[in-house]
Order: sequence, then structure tokens, then C-alpha cells
Amino acid sequence: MNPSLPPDSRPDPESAADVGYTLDLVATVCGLTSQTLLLYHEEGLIQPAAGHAPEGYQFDEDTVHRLRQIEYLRNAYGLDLPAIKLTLDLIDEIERLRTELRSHR
Amino acid sequence: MQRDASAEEIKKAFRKLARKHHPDVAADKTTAEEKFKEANEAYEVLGDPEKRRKYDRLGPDEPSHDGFPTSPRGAGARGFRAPTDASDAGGFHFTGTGFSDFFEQYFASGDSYGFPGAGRSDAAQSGAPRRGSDVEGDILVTLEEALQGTTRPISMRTINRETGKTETHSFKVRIPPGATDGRRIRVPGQGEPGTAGGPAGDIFLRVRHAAHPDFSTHGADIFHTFEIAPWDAVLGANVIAPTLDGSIKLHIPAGAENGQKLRIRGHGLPKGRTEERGDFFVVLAVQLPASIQDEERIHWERLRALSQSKQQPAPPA
Repeated sequence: MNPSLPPDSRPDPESAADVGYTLDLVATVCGLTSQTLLLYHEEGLIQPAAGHAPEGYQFDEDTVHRLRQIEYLRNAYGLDLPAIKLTLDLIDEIERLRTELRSHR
Repeated sequence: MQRDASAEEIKKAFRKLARKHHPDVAADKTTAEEKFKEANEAYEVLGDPEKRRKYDRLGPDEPSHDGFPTSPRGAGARGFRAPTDASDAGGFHFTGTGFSDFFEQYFASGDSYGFPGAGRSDAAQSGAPRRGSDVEGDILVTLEEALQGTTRPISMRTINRETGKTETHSFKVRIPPGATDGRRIRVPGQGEPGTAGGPAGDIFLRVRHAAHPDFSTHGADIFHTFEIAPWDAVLGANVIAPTLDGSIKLHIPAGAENGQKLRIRGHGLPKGRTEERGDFFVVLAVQLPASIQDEERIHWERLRALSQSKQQPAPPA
């Protein structure tokens, strides 16, 4: 679709769902530094899917999606981290309630 | 279905259809999957009060004043223009996700929704390379697919902002084992094209489990409602219960209660990329007999008499 994809976007889409995201990989994919990701983790904005230390952290695709949301809220609205956390918590709650509503049908 | 069918009638009709066309049991496997997804799709619309109100606004043969299709499957054939049609800038339409055009355009249209590429407006003004927006959509996944994983061909139709022409992009999406409801699958570089040499955005497909006639899920756990007779609840019983990957022997303990959950560890969906699996819960539903024969009545009456005599206070000494 786009011949100028950066290296981080090149993985075969067919296998993308099985790719594990290390701290460095998810930082590259999202155009952020590892330090920024660790700060977001400290602030409770993202959680690794597995691993107990930064070098062993494994993130999933929901984290990539979340980081895109975080960056958008920062850049477009100038929100600080507590405000971003509140916004994302509210979005999560809405999604959870919608899922619960579906399960009752 | 009658137009005024109740929610319960719709649910029953769905379960009947889903059972008939479930890919695991249907005689004709070639058409079963499509019919199963059609039933799911219709249930998504008719089982949701708000969506059903929208659908009910138009009679089956009434012309639609706002281009609303009169039937899910007729949507494409009628050539209507939907509010989120691809001719609108920024519209994206998927096929192969398990939702028809009808569902896509009205209830789950892929869109570059509220989170476009970061720094978009500044970049657009400066002419600097800008990464394309991410595109979101839903993908219908059967529980069997969620258990074993699968690869699904997807097509996305959109309008090229520069040429104004409709373009269709086809790609494959790997649904990994353990694709739990609500989880997102990222397809890199298949979202909105970037500008000024910027990279394309990604597609994020949110997994939505197809309604199953026998099982429901919560995270990686699977739930199955198992109907038992009152005497089995009181006395206990050994039964065979279905799971997603074969039947299992199950012991119902004596004195089991209605709604009691029996957990079978490790028979749920896979948890991510680990070997670990969620649990399978059998939820007991005690079924009272709808009618009884004369002989059965005698036994129930004896049981009542016995029970009442037990409840009588002891006579004073």
C-alpha cells in the first residue's frame, strides 16, 4: 500500500498478530523512546502482558493501540499524564460496559 | 421472524439457526460457516434494541428516505448510499470481517475515528511527512477460531484522497489462538496512506466473538449452561458435558444448587502466547418438569408429605 514504509512497519501482516513486542520494539513501532514507555508504565498508563523486568517485558497489540491514543491526547489536546490516564480509564470503562451489555443480549 | 417478535423469540430463533448452521455440526460444511455468520450478524442487529429500532424504522418493502437498506443482505444489491459511504472522505469499508456491508456501514464501519496520527494538523500545514491515520474495525471470530487461530482474507475499500478513485486493498489477517473478545489485532501499514512520504497508518481490528448457541466467554474463560434434573441436583450425578474441544465427564456433587458453577481448569481459551489456558465453567440450571405423569405425581406427593413431616415441630414431651 505504501512503498515507503519504515522498517518497523514491514512485518508481514499475516504474522503480525503473533509478533511479541519487546520494550524496544514497541518503542520503535510507536516512535517513542524506551524511557518514555517506562515512564508511562510507572504512571500506570500501560502494562506489559508478561515479564517482571524491563528487559523481559512483553507487550501486546492493545498496548500499541493505547500508545497511539496517549500520543494523540498529548499532542492534539495537550493533556498531561494524569488527565490522559483519566481519559483512558473512562474509555476502558465504556468499552467494558458495552461488552457487558452485549453479553446480556 | 415476525416484525413484532420479542427479544426472547429472537434469541430462541438465533439459537436454533446457530445450532443448525454451526460449522462443527452442519451437514453442508461449505455453506455452514457463511450461514452461521449471517445468523450472528442478524442477531447483532435484531438483538440490540437500538440497532433494531433503526432497522424497524423501515418496512421490508418500503422505500427508504435516508438510504437505509431494507434488508441486511440486500444492502449492496440496492446500491444505496450510506451515511458513511466510501465516497465520504475518510470512509473505510471492510469485507471478510464477518460483518456484511449493512453491518459495516451502520454499526461497525471502519473509520479513522477519534485518534488520527499524532501531530496531524501541524504536519499537514507544514507539508512535512505525515503518518496516515490508523483505521479501526471489528472482526467477527467464532469461538473455534479463537481456540485454534486462523487466517482470514480481508478487503478494505476506500477513496484515494489524491486521485478520488475507489481503491480496494486485500490482505490477510492472522487471528492468533486465544483471540479473546475485545482484543485488538494490529495489521501494520494497511491503514490510511501517509502524506508527503510519511508512512501509512495501521489497521486495528477488534475481536468480537460470534454468539455461540452453547458457550459464552469472559476473557479466556468459557461458560456453558448445563441443564440438570432436580433429583440430579439433590442426589448428585455423573454426566457428560460438551466443551469446545470435546466432551468431558463431570461429577455433579450431591446438593448442587441452581446457578452453581463447576470449574474445569485449563479447558478455556489460550491465554496469549503462553501454554496457559483459561477455565471452563459449567453453570448448573435445574430444570423443573413442565408436566408429570400420574406415577410421577404420586412420588412427588410422597416427597412433599415426607418433607412436611420433617418440618413439623416435635410434639411436647
